Amino acid sequence: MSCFGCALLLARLAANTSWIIGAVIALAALALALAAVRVSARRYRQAASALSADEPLPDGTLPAIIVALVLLIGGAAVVFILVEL
Amino acid sequence: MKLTERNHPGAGRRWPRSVFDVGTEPDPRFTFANERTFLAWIRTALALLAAGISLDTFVTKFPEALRTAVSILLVLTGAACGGLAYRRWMASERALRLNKPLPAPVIAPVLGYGVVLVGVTFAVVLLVRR
Repeated sequence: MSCFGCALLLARLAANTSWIIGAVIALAALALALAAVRVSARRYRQAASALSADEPLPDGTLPAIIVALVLLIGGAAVVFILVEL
Repeated sequence: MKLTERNHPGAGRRWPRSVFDVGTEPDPRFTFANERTFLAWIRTALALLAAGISLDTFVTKFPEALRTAVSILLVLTGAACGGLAYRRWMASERALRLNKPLPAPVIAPVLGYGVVLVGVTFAVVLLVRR
């Protein structure tokens, strides 16, 4: 949620300069946030059942999505700062 | 607890394969501790990103070139923190599975030097502008 909020704030700021950049950031952040919600719900269920059944824990898809969101914010922020110059 | 891939066929399909295709299942408490460390680095990365964006957007009393440079430094440090956190999560999980020593902390120097650089820059600007 905090990553998504940060991305949306950045998208809003970027929209002042170019609405296309703002829309691209917002849509990409929305897609990644929805993927994170879906994967984390599934991951919670898998981990809970894996712990009680003595089975392997879920994989690293969720960390990858979170990092993609952080890198999206970082890349978009650099573009935003440089475009504003 | 040591669960083998042979005993759990589904375990081989987990991603990234470079992590989960090797070794044996570690104690779940270690896996969860590794994830908590990863999430702590992500929070740090997010704080740095937010600081960089806020500095560029809301702080107007600093010289523009310096403000931009420090903003970009903060944002790049934040992005590096995020990327390196994922690498560290993978390396630690792999080390746990192989029962090897944990990897050296690569992110700590990046964060430490980045924050020191930003702090020194701010201190110099504040002193010069007095």
